Amino acid sequence: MSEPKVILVSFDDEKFPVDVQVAEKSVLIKNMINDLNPDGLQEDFEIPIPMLRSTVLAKVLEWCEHHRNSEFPDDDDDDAKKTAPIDEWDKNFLKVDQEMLYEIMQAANYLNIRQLLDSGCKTVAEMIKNKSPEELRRTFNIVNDFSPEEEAAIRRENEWAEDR
Amino acid sequence: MWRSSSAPKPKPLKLAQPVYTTYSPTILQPTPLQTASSSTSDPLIGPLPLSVFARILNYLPVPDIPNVARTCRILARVVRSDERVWNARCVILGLMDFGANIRKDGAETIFQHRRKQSTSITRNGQPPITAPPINLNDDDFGDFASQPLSVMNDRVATGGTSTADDQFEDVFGDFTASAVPPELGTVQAQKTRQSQQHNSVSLLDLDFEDGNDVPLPSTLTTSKKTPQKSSLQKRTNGFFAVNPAVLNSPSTSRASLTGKDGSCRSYEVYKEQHMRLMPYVKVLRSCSTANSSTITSTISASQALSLLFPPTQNGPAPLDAQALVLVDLLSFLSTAIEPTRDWGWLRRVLGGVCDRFESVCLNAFDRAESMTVLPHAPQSTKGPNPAIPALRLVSEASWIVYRTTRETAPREKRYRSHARETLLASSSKLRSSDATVVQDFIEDQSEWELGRAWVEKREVFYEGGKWDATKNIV
Repeated sequence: MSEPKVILVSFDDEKFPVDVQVAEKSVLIKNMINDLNPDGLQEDFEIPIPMLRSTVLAKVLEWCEHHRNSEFPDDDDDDAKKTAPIDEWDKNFLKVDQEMLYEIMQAANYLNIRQLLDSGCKTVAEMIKNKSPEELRRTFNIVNDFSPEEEAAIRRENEWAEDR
Repeated sequence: MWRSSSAPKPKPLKLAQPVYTTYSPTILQPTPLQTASSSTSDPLIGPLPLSVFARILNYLPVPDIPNVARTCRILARVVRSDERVWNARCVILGLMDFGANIRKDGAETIFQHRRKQSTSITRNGQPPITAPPINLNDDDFGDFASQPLSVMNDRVATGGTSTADDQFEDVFGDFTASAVPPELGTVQAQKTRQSQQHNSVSLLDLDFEDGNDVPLPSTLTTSKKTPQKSSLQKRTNGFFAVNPAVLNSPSTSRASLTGKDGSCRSYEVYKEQHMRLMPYVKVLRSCSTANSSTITSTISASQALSLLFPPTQNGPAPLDAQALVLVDLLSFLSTAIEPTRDWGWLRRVLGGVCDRFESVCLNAFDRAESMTVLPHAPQSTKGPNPAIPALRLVSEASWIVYRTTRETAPREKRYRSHARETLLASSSKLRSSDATVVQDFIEDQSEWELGRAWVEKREVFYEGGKWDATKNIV
């Protein structure tokens, strides 16, 4: 008899049967499985994920599948986390249009997949580098709610960090 | 009958199924990440939740952060008051000895250890092993605040550092600090005025610069530089001497430009350290940009070193103080912080400076060691050889710089080094175990040149003195 699977159901009712090991890359799902199956998984286990579209969920699960055997450094180790460059595979994996990237990151945030979220954050950080505030607003669709004086004040406040 | 008796058994499993559909993930969210994402305190900024933005900022080089702060109010607030943005940086710089995120590999925590140790030794009437780093801003966490100034003076008076200081003449020559970027002077005056207008007293400031009543260990002579504000001039000489380039920089008048309201602690802590180190970074940059093709042709590493720590009337800054600054710089100019856009280049310059520093240490070690050989002091059980602290100081200075340079070393290795360093540092109490400790870490760190010298000379320390171990227990 094959191992019981976890069946993730997306917002648009598409079902994604995956191995437990893959699904457990998400801390949220892992906790759900463990809390509701204290004796271990006996049979297929369906989890609805109504916040995610099937395309996004498919992408996220693709990531989980690829990293099913990856060992990640200790979550709490900020040092290792921050200095590690983006995984090459992740970099290519996240070469998607911006909307998809943001949705993947939101999904990773929601499902608590720390390493995927980190890769996403590093990707976005790369996008932010060397951009002016105006460019950043355009990139992220942010409305400028500063008065000119306020913006100048904020600029002065953080002047110390600028590289002059 | 048969049915009803067998039914209950599979029932729990079957019943479980409908529970999932109504299962609310928000109840089960165990990590901060999840709690944040579902709560109203985590609004979307553009496409991404606020907490995600905080994470992104964590990965962003420091010079890019001001631009993010200027996009909109909510991001400005995140930059200013979200611990997540700055905490990791502070941890990497070894500035956080509070909170849950104490760095584990100990590259910096050892400093806290050593600082504490130096204060405790002070209480025993001995000179402290580590002098305060050149700029007293480092006192932010109170380690040195508890150390009476008079003790530091004593240290100078008794010549606690003189053995080390004497070693530099041949290295530095009469090279004086001339690397002050010309534009800094005017900015500095302006900033000083600003900070004077702003009279708010920061608890983080332990600022001796304006304290007229602080006893200074050395006489005040006019520095070679152009006349400056007298309060600043005081510290261009003597034991607490600050690199004039450092003093001239706008960054020294730090922290008081803006109000403290709403900013988180790690923001302030990081800012403080950033401003403390940026003057040194500028010196490094002025060294490298003076001649962009090759550093070695005009500004050598030793010259860069003497620019960073210009010799003063009392000789150069103590080696251990220099080492502390170099170590701070090493962790500052790293992928983890990215304090400037050209940090990679500056890091290479700094690497050369550190190599140079190690050979300076080696040189100083040799000199101090030759003093131990001299039979000038017929000491028996009276106390340790006076040169021993100097040797220890020099080798510790060399060691911490060496170790921090090896940031690429595997982690466990660094853990072990840490353990040994701790042992070594406490070796004044536990002399008997020293030989094995040193032997051990030489096996491990055979490239560390000064360590080899230490091992060669260890008979001097451990066999020549005929220590009575019980004397150490007071």
